[in-house]
Amino acid sequence: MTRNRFLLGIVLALLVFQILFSVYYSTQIIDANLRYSTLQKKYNDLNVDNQQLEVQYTQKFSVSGQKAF
Amino acid sequence: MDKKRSKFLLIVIYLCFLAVLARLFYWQVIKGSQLHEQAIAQIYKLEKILPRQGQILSSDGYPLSLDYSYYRLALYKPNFQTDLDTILQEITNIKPEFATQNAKLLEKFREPNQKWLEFLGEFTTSEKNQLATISGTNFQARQKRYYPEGTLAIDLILGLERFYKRQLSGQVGFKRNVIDATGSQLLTKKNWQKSEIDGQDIPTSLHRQVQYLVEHTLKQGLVTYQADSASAIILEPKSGQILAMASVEASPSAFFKVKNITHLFEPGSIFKPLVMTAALDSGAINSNWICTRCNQARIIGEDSINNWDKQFHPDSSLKDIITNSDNIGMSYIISHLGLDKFLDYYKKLKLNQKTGVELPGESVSPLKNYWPEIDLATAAFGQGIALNQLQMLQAFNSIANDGLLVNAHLNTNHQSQSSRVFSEKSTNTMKEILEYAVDHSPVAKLKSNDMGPVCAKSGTAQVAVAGKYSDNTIGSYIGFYPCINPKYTMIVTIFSAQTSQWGSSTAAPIWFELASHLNRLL
Repeated sequence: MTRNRFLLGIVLALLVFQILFSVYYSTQIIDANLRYSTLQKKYNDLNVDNQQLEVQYTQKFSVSGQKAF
Repeated sequence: MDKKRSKFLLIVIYLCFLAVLARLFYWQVIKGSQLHEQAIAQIYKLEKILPRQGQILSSDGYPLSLDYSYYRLALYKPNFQTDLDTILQEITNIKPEFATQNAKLLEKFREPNQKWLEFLGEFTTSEKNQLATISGTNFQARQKRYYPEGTLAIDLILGLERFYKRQLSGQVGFKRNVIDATGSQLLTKKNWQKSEIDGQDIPTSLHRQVQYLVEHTLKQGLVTYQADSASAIILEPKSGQILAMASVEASPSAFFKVKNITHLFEPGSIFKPLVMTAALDSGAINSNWICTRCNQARIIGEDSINNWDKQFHPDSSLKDIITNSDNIGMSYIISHLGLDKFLDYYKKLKLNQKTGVELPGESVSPLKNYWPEIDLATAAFGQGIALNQLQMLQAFNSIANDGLLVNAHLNTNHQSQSSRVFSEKSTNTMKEILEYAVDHSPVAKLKSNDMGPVCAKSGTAQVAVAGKYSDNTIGSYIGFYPCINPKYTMIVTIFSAQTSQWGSSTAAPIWFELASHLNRLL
């Protein structure tokens, strides 16, 4: 009887552990995914900003004074 | 009764089980491959990664063409949480020209069955981030080619872009991501990526200030001399690097072309120094040679060779022949040189082949096989042969470069290839002759006071139309400065000028005008 209770306790503990483990790591994975998406967007934005800054630089130092196209 | 009921229940369960099995068979076996594809399409997203295209760089490292990224707005009605007018108001607050720019598209978007539409207009990152919070807006990054100097050297830049298309483009990359139901990327080992390879930059020898000066001066010349078109090229003599190359037309064509290499013309008298140097170099004549038969026109068969001013110059020295641009004297010099040697030098000067400049569409005239005496005689003053402007300048540059011919090129990564055509002694003699000719001809007054010795030659050729020479002429001026250790070699050509038919009156003033500024820039 005691042994059955003991085994039941282990099963329940493992179940709780599995649930907690899943919850914890799935939260971590979701966070990592979100962080990745945000950084990816930032990277793309910075890329675009970089090219626009390059364009501003060229406009500043153009010798022809013509309207670029 | 109970047994019957339980049997019945068992049969129902079996039937249900069979039905499920049948359905599973249908989904997994019959429709399996189709659903597998759909599942893959839902789970995986294949994206192209566009590489950064290479830039065309000027001699000072300034990008003459580069990629420019911006965002384009698309609207999706089903995701709207407010009405279209409110959304448009918010867009207009940030981009006032949006509504007018997209008047027609907006009209289309208001139609009930139009759920999605992409609009015109370029949005910056900050504008995109402000508007991205509105439901129903969607921004896509777009790229386009940008030319910061406007039309400056545009034909050359577009030509270089066509020539170096593969190097500039780079390689497109691919990314396969696992996505969730919302389309967001999931980080798993199943993600796969082949990175893009950015395009290479092409560094050129184009000098922006000089290019601007050349284009500006040619445009002025076009108006002053009422010409159809004008072209010029400036080379760095030792390396053969092209510092500037331009062609302007009174009625510009819509098509891309670099007339300096696509258009063939008879060089006229600017060809004389090459023939004379070849004669000196081969030993056919020496520097003390005198034309004893220059007191009359030269008769060859039914043809006669005369001078441009119908004057005769008896006992002309080589300096006199170049100064007076004496066709008769030159016809005797080429006779001394002989056809075989003339053709040999012609080939050594690479006048029978393309210069190989990194631009598409270069024209070259094949060397003819049949050379009657009159054709050889007229070739001495650049008639009956056709060259493009760059070929002519590349060949003439060998005199500036002490007899070494270097390939004209734009890409500074190219190793200059050189081959000896003339001895240093013969080019030095030619330099003395050219310097003398400039100082003793009317163009001498065009030299600015601070200019040292100039080695140059003018030339005029009639334009051949349907096999006959017309009244229109092509005036050229070619030369280098200073005569010793020159900084540049330059050619200016004016096509069909109305104010004067002579190259010394049209191309030469432009040449000296450019030269007066070049001394400060180079």
